[in-house]
Amino acid sequence: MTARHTGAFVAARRIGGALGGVIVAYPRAARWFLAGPAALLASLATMAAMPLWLPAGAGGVDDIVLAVVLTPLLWAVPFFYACLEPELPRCAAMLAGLTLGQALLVAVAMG
Amino acid sequence: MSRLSQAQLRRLTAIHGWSGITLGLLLYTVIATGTAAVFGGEIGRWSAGGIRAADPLEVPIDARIRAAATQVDPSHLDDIAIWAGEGRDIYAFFHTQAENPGTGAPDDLGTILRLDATSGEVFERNEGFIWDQPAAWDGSALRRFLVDLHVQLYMPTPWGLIVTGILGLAMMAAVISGLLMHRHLLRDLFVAERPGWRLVSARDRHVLAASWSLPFAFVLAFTGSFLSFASTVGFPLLASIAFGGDDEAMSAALFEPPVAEDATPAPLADLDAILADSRARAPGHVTFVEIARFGRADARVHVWHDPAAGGVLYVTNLYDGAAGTFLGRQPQVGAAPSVGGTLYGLMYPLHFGHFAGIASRIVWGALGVALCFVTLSGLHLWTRRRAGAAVWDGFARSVDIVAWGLPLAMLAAAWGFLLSVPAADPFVWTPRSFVAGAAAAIIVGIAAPDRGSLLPRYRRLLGMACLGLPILRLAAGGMSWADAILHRQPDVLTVDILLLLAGIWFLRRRRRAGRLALEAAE
Repeated sequence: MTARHTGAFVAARRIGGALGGVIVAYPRAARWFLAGPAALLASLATMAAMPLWLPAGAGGVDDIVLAVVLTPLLWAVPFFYACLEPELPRCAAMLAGLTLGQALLVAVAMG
Repeated sequence: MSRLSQAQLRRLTAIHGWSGITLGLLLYTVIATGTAAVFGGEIGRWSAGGIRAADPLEVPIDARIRAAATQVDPSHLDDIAIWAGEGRDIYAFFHTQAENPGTGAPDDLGTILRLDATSGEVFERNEGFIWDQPAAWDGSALRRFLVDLHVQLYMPTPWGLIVTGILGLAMMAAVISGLLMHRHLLRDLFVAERPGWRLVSARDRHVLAASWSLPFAFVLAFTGSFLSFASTVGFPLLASIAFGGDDEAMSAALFEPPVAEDATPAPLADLDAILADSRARAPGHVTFVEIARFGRADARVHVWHDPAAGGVLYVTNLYDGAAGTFLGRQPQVGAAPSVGGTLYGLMYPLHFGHFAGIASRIVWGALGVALCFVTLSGLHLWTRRRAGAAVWDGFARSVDIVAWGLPLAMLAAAWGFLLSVPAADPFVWTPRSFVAGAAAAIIVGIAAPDRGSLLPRYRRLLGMACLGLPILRLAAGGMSWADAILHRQPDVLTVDILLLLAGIWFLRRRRRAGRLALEAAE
């Protein structure tokens, strides 16, 4: 690992720690944010990335069609997770990881 | 049943309540109009239908289509869509693809003819971007208005679809939170209303109706939000990622099996023979026929059927248009049957409820009424728990006004439609009459001295509106009862009788007015 990588890792930990502090200090606002915009972003990112990791299946269309057909569930799962998860920092980390991971896939594919 | 903590239950209760309170009235509007739209075929036949001995797609139409094809611009022969009207008429839409200057997007440009399937007489002819002109492709302005109100709350595309999609998600949030909150789901299925018209009695009614309609509500919410978001968000987003923004390429990959291009002129095979063969392979009614590349060697004919007995999915048979040979059963999506294609195919019949003919639609209609009750009873529960606060008392009255005003406005739309048919444009006057009916309902609701006096007033208005409609339909030149009986046209007679019965029921049933007054005073 180079010094540059170590610096980025330390910076990411610092940002994560600061965000975790904000979440713990304002739990109600954090849950609103996670169940609202964050869950919506996570669902859109998942839908956008599904054609990139889902097999096309026998008809050659499952990667597209399932992403559209499952839209309501793609939103409902992160929404209810954000509503019910007792540990808000863990919820934030999960949703951020999910969203950024899928968005990265889309960015690489379109790049 | 539930193993959730108190904090989690509190959050679920908040989701359940607030999703209903913020969007419940719009949700009620979508559910109530959707319940009417389930019977769109009957409403269309009742409002605009003529006498017919058989479904127009069941009689020979080959000669009609060939004759019509000679009357249109040859560039419009790329694709021909054929479907039945409300009487003996069929619509034949000859079209090609062109950029619609109104939207800047590719659209169907062509000539649509409304023909008598039996005699071939052309009733109407329209040209242009036809989907912008509902009067050109739908015989009933009343049915079209009710469906538009349900699908996109009569708002412009795509905003109306996005709003109804959000309503679908809100309904799903209410359903799932309601399910998770249930501590005794099985017991709640058989809960008896506690006497005395108290708050707990109202809760019992809400829980009982909600428990039974829970699976149906989930199916409707899921399929409804899919139908709203698929064309506005899902497919455009995926087209930009998987097809570089080329909507047509995605549409071709999903819905049009590849055909080796051959522009050699070749006459279309006998369409009646193709339809007869298709009927032999799929017993459900033919609902739609599409002829691609008419007059060419690479022509294809798609024949859509309602689901056969015991099935849920639509059936599409594919034929070689020039040879008339059967090429196979076309999957709903893609080149071969698949999980995605099956799920996609299930969305439509499960939402519309017409997979088992009139029987499943009656069940869907009844469950729609139950869901209307669940939505309104939930809103009433919320406001009764907060009775005494000026804001919630005002909201309670708004709930009453919308609850009774919406059906009144829908009946007013039917009145406006029938009054305008002889002399004016029903596509203009039907929505205007709905607005007038809604305004009248609001005025009645605001003018009433208290909530207890609202119900008798609305009942009288609804009763009179229902009783007058069959008379008005006959006066406007609609099919007489004698003709309906003589020519076995059950739709017209059934709707008329149901309206008369509903009118009598509304005018005679005053008992519950006292009950509402008691609730209001509580």
